[in-house]
Amino acid sequence: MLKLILKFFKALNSNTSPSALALGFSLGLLMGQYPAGTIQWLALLLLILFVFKINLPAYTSFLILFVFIPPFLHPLADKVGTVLLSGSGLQELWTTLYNDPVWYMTKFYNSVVIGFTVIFIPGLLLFYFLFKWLVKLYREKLQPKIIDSKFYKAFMKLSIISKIAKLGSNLEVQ
Amino acid sequence: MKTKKAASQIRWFKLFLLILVVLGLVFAYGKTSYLLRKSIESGLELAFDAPVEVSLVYWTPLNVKISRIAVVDKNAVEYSFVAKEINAEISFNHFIRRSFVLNDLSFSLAFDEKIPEDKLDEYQKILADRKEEKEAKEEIREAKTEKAKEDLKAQIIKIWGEYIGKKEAEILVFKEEIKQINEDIKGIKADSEKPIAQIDTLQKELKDLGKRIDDAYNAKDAKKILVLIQEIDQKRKEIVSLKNDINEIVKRANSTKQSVVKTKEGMEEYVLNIKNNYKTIIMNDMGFFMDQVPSLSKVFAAKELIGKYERFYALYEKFNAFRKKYFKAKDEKEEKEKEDNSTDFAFLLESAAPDFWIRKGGVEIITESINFTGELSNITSSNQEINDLSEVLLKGKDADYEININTYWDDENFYGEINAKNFAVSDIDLNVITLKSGLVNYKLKYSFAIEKGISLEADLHDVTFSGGGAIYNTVSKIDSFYLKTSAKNENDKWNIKANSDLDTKIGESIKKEFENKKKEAATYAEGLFNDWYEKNIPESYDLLGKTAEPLKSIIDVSKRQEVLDNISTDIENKASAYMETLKKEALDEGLKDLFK
Repeated sequence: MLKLILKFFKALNSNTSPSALALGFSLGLLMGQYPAGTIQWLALLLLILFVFKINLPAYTSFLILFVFIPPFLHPLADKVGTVLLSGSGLQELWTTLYNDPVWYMTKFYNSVVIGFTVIFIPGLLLFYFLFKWLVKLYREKLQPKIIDSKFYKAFMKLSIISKIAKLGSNLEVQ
Repeated sequence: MKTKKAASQIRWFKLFLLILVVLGLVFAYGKTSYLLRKSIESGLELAFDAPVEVSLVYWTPLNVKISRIAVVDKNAVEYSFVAKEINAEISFNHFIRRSFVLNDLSFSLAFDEKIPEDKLDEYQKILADRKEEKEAKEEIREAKTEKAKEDLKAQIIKIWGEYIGKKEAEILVFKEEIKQINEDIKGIKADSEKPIAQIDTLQKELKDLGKRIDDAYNAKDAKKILVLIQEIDQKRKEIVSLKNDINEIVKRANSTKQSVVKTKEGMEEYVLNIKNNYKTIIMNDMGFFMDQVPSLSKVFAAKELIGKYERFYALYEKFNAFRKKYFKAKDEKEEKEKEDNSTDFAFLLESAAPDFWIRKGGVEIITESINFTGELSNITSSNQEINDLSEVLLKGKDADYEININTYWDDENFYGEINAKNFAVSDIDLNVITLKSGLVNYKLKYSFAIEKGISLEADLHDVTFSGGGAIYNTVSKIDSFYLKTSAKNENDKWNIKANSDLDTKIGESIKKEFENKKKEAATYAEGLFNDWYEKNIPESYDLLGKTAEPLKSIIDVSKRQEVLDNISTDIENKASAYMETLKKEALDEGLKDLFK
């Protein structure tokens, strides 16, 4: 866990592109909030882990963080999902999908699941640009100020912190 | 360089995750297999009260396979049955909806398979322990029976004691009467001694007088005869006086005799009354006596029958309880899952299914004598949901033997019918007689319901028995009977209602048996009576002079007096006759002298 945190800060403060970090953050956030236990969640997880090239420290740290954070996106997903599932025009489609075992395993009939799925892509785009801007902002404005601060310097002189920093310097990030 | 190292670390991390996922899946698979195996094992052990072997359970989301399930027989030498090649096709579409639907199930059953020698000791020990436990219970039952017999005797003694205690108070009245009679007799005896002596003296005197009259007549002494006649007259006066005294004594004696007779009769009637009544009283008071008599009465038979099906009923109840509990837990779990404010929309499911459902199945049962084929359909956790009955049909037939078992059930009721021709029975305990072996044509209609209890209708034809026991000979002649019984468990107590012609058919033999037992009890009570009689009654009779006839001598006084009276009359007549003769002879002599 410590390594993961160190990697996260290392990535944040290294030359890793803001786009890669932003993608990892936004996917971690959305996957952390997405209802687990569905096949699409599992499939996406496997894809991210074994197929896509994502900044894993950024993704994993945000995934773990947002799994434990109350699902703030669920009310929105629930509203979207309820509208979709209760809409009269799509009933035939839903019934067909409901009777299909593979589609059933997606839990599409759950208002949050279908709603979240629908808002996933827009959400991904939104959070991607948001985190990208934030990373840039951090690196340009906040990072130099922190490094020059007396508090940071005193903090880094602490023996335990210097040991952790040394450990962090040996870590590589993708 | 650093990039390569980073890539290597990522690969290892991904591999680690992959291994975790694989291990998790393997664990989940193994755990599911283990749980399935254990639940089958414990369920069968509970049902058959014997060790059970279950082989590994192989499953996929589409199929379950168990190569062998074996239940050990009570003799611990062979298996009761061995289910083999159990193969179930799972409906994946329902499986993902948490419904365990088996589209097809097949298995075969074999009987009398020998237990391998390496397992014999273990099973024999387990079953021996259980047998020991059962025998201990049997010993307790026998001790209770023995105690019941002792209680029977104790109750007879108690009832007898209470009864005779009341009667013995009445004996005192008789004893007082007898005492008074005895006193009277003694008085009469004392009073009769003087007249007896007088009679004896008079008798001697009259005999002497008769001799003297004879002498006077021989001497032809008329004057002397006349004097003696006067003396006879004097004696007659004495006799008359004595007669009055004797009459008075005899009068008293007769009165006492009447008292004796009355008391004797009263006492005899009293004893007879005890003798006649005590049996009735004892029999009437022995309400529990019937329980001591072995009987094949309908209630006993019904208890036996219900007892045999009680285990099935208990299983049925457990199954229902489990079903209710499970579904409740499941509903609660589902409710809990919905706490995230999401809503599960339900759409029309073309093939809705309950949580558990064997749509159809086939079974082959192989025994030494006969092979069964069976069909299963709609074995389900909710008949209401499938709107159909669960059904098991089993058919077995060979040259001699035929059996059809049709069983149906729904969520509330379990019922069906068993028809068997030439059905071999063994070791069936009918309470007073054991069917060690036999052939029977058997028809049983049964019904279990949680609210209504058990209902069984047994119809037996061509029953043959072998066995032994007190009433075996009479029971073995019965070749058919029916038994309709229903039972409801209320507060852990079975309330059984039964109707049968069994009582009618063996009623007489049971009655005889009961009568015999009653006689045994009566004989026992009679022994008590005789002991009491010997101790109490002869003593009372002795007071009355049962053997001594105390009034006999008193009554003899009047007879003596009669004899005396007769002697007196005889002497008087004799003396008168002598005088007449002497007068005639004197006249003859005078006339002769006159004509000389």
